[in-house]
Amino acid sequence: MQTDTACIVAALFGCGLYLVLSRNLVRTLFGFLLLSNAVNLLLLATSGDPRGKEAPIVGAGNFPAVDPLPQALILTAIVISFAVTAFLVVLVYRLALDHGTTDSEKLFAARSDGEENTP
Amino acid sequence: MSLGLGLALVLLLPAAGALAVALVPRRWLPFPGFIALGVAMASLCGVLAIGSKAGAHPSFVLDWSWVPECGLSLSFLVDGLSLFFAVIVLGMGVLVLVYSRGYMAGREGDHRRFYAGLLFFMGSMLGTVFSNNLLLLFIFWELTGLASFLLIGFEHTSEEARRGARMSLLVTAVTGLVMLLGIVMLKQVTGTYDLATILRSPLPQTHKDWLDACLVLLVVGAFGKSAIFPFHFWLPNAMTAPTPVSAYLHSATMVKLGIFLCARLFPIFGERELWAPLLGVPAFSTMLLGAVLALMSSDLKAILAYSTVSQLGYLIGYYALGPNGGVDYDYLHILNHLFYKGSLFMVAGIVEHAAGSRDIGKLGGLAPRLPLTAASCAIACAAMAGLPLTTGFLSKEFMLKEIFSAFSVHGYLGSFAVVCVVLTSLLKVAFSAKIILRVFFGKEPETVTAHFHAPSAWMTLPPAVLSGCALLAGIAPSFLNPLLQPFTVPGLHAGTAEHFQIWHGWTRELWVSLAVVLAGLALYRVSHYGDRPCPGVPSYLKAERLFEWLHEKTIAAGRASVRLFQTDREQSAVLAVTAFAGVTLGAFAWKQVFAGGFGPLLQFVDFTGGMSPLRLLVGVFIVLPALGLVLFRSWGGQLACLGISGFMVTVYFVLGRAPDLALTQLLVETVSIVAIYLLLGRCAKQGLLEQWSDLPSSAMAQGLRVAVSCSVAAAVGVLILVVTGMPHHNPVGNFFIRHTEDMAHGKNAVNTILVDFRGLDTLGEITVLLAAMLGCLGLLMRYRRNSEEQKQGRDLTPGLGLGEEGKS
Amino acid sequence: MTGLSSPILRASSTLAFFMANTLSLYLLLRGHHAPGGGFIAGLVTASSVVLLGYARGPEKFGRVLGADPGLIAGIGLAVAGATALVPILFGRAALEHFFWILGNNGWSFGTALIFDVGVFLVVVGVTTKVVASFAASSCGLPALVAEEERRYSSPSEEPLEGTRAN
Repeated sequence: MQTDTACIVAALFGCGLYLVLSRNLVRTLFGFLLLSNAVNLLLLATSGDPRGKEAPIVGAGNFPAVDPLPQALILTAIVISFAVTAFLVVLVYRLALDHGTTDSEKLFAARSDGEENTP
Repeated sequence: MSLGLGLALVLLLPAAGALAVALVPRRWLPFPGFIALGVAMASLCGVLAIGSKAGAHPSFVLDWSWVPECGLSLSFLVDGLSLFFAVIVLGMGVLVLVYSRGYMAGREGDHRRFYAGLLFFMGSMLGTVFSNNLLLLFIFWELTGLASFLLIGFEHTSEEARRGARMSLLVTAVTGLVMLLGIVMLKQVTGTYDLATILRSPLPQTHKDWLDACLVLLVVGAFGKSAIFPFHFWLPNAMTAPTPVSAYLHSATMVKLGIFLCARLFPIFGERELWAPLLGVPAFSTMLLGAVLALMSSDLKAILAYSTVSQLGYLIGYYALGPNGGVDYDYLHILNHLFYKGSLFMVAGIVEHAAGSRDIGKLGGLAPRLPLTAASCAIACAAMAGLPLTTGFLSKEFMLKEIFSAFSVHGYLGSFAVVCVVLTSLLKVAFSAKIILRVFFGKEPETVTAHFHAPSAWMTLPPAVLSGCALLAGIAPSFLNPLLQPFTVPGLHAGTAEHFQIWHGWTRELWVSLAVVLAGLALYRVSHYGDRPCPGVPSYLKAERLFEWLHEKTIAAGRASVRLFQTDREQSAVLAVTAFAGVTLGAFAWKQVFAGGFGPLLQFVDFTGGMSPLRLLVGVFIVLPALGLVLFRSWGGQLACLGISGFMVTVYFVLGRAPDLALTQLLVETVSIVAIYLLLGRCAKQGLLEQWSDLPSSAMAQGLRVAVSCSVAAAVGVLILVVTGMPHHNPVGNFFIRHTEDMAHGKNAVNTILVDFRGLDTLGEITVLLAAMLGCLGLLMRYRRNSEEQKQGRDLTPGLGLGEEGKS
Repeated sequence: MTGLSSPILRASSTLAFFMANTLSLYLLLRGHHAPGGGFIAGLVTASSVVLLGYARGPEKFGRVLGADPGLIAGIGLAVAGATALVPILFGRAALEHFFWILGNNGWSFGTALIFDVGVFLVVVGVTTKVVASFAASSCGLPALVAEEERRYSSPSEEPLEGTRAN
């Protein structure tokens, strides 16, 4: 499970980071989602090659199993990234409502103007 | 009643009173002033009972364990010094609370806050003086500063009051922290925070430099609290507090904590060479400086504040020059100051109340209208000037006597002290004359006539009591000896105090006194000839300007550093992070090259071994939508790509033997897509998002972006290959699989890790979930508009030019 | 917007809701031994609530569960926290679980299940609350029902959408 996972995670990381670096905050949000998937897969890769192994559910005879710890970590990570996603979405939504744009350059310029006006 | 219980009651009563007054609604607890007074009186009785039960020269420790791990215990030392200060705190507290009845009349709405603050202060003050554990002492020490902050800023609507409160808090808290440093260092040398133990055993002779550093740090704390140069400026600025607070905290009790600390340190450090110059030079300079500034000031409370600074300087200097065997007259000086300064502050409050001003240029001729107050003020001023028949005279005689004897012992410092003391005594006569003559005699200005209303007896009696004490003890000083005798502390006091007498004969000190009084009167006559106004304190002598400058610069530096590290553009933050990671990885790779190439790292990597056609196929369906997400321009297409990629990750989890993950991912992906669809769909419908693809950027920026993304992707790929390729023989996961049944009684190891083995993580996680929910709801709120704004259509709804509103 | 207009779809959404929750209960109970557990069961329930909310329309979405979902999440956290703290009362480490063996088929009941129920409640509450408030806001409605306002906001705040008579 090394080479193929490595390729997938690398590709997801590349796309995600490219999107995160965008000026458009919506694209940043999407990039964040890709990145969180990428990180989950990265963690999964550390649980070792699954071929010939079973899910970490102890029962009669299904040994050896994959490492359960990365899976527990990923499960936590998935839920947390859901919470963060919800927060980011509503943040972008609010910015769009208040300022009519999701262009971070424009938002930044508006803020700088505001700062100059109110010393 | 045992002493322990009694002391606990004494310490807890003010705290309980403060809580009750602050929290219980007025309906159920009327007259907070009387409750505070009752609490203070009960505590005073308690302290006196403890004192009488403990007998003469008590010294015992009451100890309750608190945090033994870091040496912190609720340990209290009852000895003469702590009892003396406790009596002062509570006795003065009773008088101030009586006075407050009059001062705060007509402001019933503020009573609870005011009395709760005073009781809180009283409690922390008692804690400080009784503390035996030095860490505990520090805690109470800072609590008194906090109480002082709250009380100075009592008139919180006034900018001046807020400024004074901030200044005093900053100065005393920061110097308090320096003191904490000294306490910790002292513990390193002596091995204990226990004051009684440190007092009993001589200091080790080994760590001389450490001990000197300790002493300097501790003394900084004392100087900050007692407003000694260079920290003297906060005290006059604290005069924005209500007058009872000034009388109580800023002349009688809190500022004496520095003196208390010096008295505590005297038996420990008194014989070190550093002691006398370290304390003496700043203390005597402060004494002189305070007196000069007092003469220049025209605000009644400012005069009193500067004269307090001056007197505090003298008291510290007194310990500085104390002979090796111990001092003898510190209690006399402290009591004397308490009597006259407390009285004068209360008089200042009365005058301000009655005449509407405390600027001595705008006052005059109040004696016929306020006879009792004028008499109190006259006695207090006489005591301040050191005229006979008052405690001031006694205090000054002994002051001069001791200073003359120190003259021969301390060389240059001694002569400096003599000059300062004599000049200060002279200045004191001058500004005492100024206060009494300018306020109570002369012509009454019309503004005063127009404003005047008589003060209540609640206000006029307490200063009369204090002045009466000064007079009584001045006329019959022999009473004082037996009163003060039980409070003496071995090690601090030599026990060779002379018997106080009203007349000591024609001594050298008397002649000097006489000369000083005459010269002082002459100085007043010259400096305030006729109606010449007071010069006021020139701005180059105002140290608070330096403080304000420092304060501003600190904040500016903080802003600048934040601007340096925290940019508003998330791209630059991401770039910074990735650049840092790149440099670290690069350095690592560089090191590897020197350590023999990448061979050792890459030897385990099997580039072709880990391939599986099915997983590769799924991988293609994960990566292709991700690329589509980058390339598509319509938002529906992008969302679809995101969804497909996420759902294919689910399949990948299944292939990775992770059924729990697959289920979770499936559901989370669904809910996330719904949430994004809901909110962004609305934005898209209303045309708020101009475009969904990337916004144009320069070729250079675009190139940088692609380069960073690609190199990070490559780095991550290599990282996975290397990490997963490394043989790890005993992964921790095996432990969970082996023990999931016998320890957690479950078969699903992932679930047992989540709820049992690592349950705390899960608890944290669901807390994060809840916090995120509250954050989301918060972002769906805005400031409530008033009806006017609603009518004007000032609305945070789309299309109304909100960007512009945000700017204006 | 008042939800789905077709009565058949609305009825089937209710049916789906109950089916999904049966599944969710099953997943929750077996979570300790087979794939499932508080998170997954919570997400299944939340999805079913989202479905039902979609059928009933955004005004009624926040009330599909009959109570404020935020409150359910708070109760969940309290349950989980209590499970974590109760062992301390008995002189054990925090979060230590107790088990009782049920019969001889290897099944057991443990306080771990109570903890998992807490997790379940938090996930259900948070997800429902978030999606419901998003749905309301996206339709131009206030994100909070009037009586909930005091629970989540200070007096100086009001929901983003709509001007409530005040």
